Amino acid sequence: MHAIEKILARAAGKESVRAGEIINCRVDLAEVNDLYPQTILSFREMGGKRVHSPERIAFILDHYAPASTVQQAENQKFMRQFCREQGIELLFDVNSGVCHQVMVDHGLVYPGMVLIATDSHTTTHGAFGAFGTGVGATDLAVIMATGHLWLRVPEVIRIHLTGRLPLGVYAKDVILYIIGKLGADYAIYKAVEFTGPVVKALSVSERMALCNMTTEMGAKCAYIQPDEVTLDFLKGKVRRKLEPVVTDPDFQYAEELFFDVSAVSPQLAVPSSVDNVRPLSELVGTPVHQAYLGSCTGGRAEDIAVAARILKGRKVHKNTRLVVVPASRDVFLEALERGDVATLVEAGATFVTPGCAACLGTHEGILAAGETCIASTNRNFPGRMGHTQSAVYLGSPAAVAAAALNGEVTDPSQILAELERKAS
Amino acid sequence: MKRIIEGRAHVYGNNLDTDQIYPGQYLELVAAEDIARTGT
Repeated sequence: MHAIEKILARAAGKESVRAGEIINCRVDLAEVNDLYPQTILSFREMGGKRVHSPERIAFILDHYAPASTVQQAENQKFMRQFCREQGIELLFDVNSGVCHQVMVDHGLVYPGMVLIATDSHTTTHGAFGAFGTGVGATDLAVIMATGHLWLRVPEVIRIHLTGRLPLGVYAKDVILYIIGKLGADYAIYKAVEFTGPVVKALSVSERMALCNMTTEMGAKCAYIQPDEVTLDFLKGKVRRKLEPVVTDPDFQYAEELFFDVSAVSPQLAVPSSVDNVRPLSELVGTPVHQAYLGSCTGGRAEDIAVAARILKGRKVHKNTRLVVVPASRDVFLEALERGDVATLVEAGATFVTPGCAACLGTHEGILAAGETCIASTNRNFPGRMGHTQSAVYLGSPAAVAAAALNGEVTDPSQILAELERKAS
Repeated sequence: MKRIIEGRAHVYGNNLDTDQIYPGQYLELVAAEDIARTGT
């Protein structure tokens, strides 16, 4: 069996499972975010009175952190009240950040767990060898009522990455390149596992970016086999024994794909689809009104650090605004300690509250008609970040910072190469 | 229990882009009547 199958088999109390099988799984952690007060309404419509296991449920107020409208405030108030009534102690309020980062920061994500959230990018937790997937309000309400959820065991696609990442090329470029080649519907209801020397050499932050974006291929979940990098990261965060699950050597993948990243250059997903990917070099000079650095995909401390490196001692272009959204409170603190926040603010950046912010067009950085944004986020459908006549290019945090500097799409590798020359 | 609901049906293909059928700016709405008003 694959590690994912073993995780699901354990959760279902079965010796083994196989792809396509429908099983009823115990959920180790269920998360509800503030887009989903409907979860509580559905729970009550099902006749729910008390949640099954309050210690395995988390509520997080991240998409509207803090509330910008009365409706958002009412929704958050409703959710806080529900947590109090139900004895749910894992309530992460508007001072926390994006759910996927916050759960990791708080040591709630560990190898082998089943984590279900009302958020599509829950695939992020595959970076830790966990089964993470997103559901809607009704499915989450079922978990609140029963502690379990039915799942179909997914087929597994293996993506093997070899070669060496060129300067200025990041996990985001690699995954955009792959999505561009395979299409946004390639992995629908499949698991996507990343293997190979490139993955082994990636930081946890970059692994999270890879797994996060598998949602944009339609994946049910993602997976990276936990190794020393994973375990070193989790030690001290997770208060339980870390027991990664391992795939059997004779496991047969549904598909095996091989990519050499040495030839990958910085990439951009062009409006208005995540699989409309082109080499950034073909788009150099495209004017940018807003550069947006943030989200569960590209708002971690490493991402802010590379932007600070590019913009240190320089200014954001006068025709562009740079909006920076740390993925979480802990990320914000780390960036503050490194001095990266000061560097970026001095360069002209606007920092907003840790959370989802304008990534999904709700608040804090909305685009007007005719405006163009380059973002380290995960989606660029029409109207995703504001007006339906605005345009979003998706790229790496370095590409976002480079565009902020010049007011137009700019190759970050050239800036980074110049910085390296000066430093040597 | 059988229940027949009559009315206009909009038939879409598979794998709907939910961002486009329900854009982010309306996601805070909870009550069905408020959501219905966004389509007018």
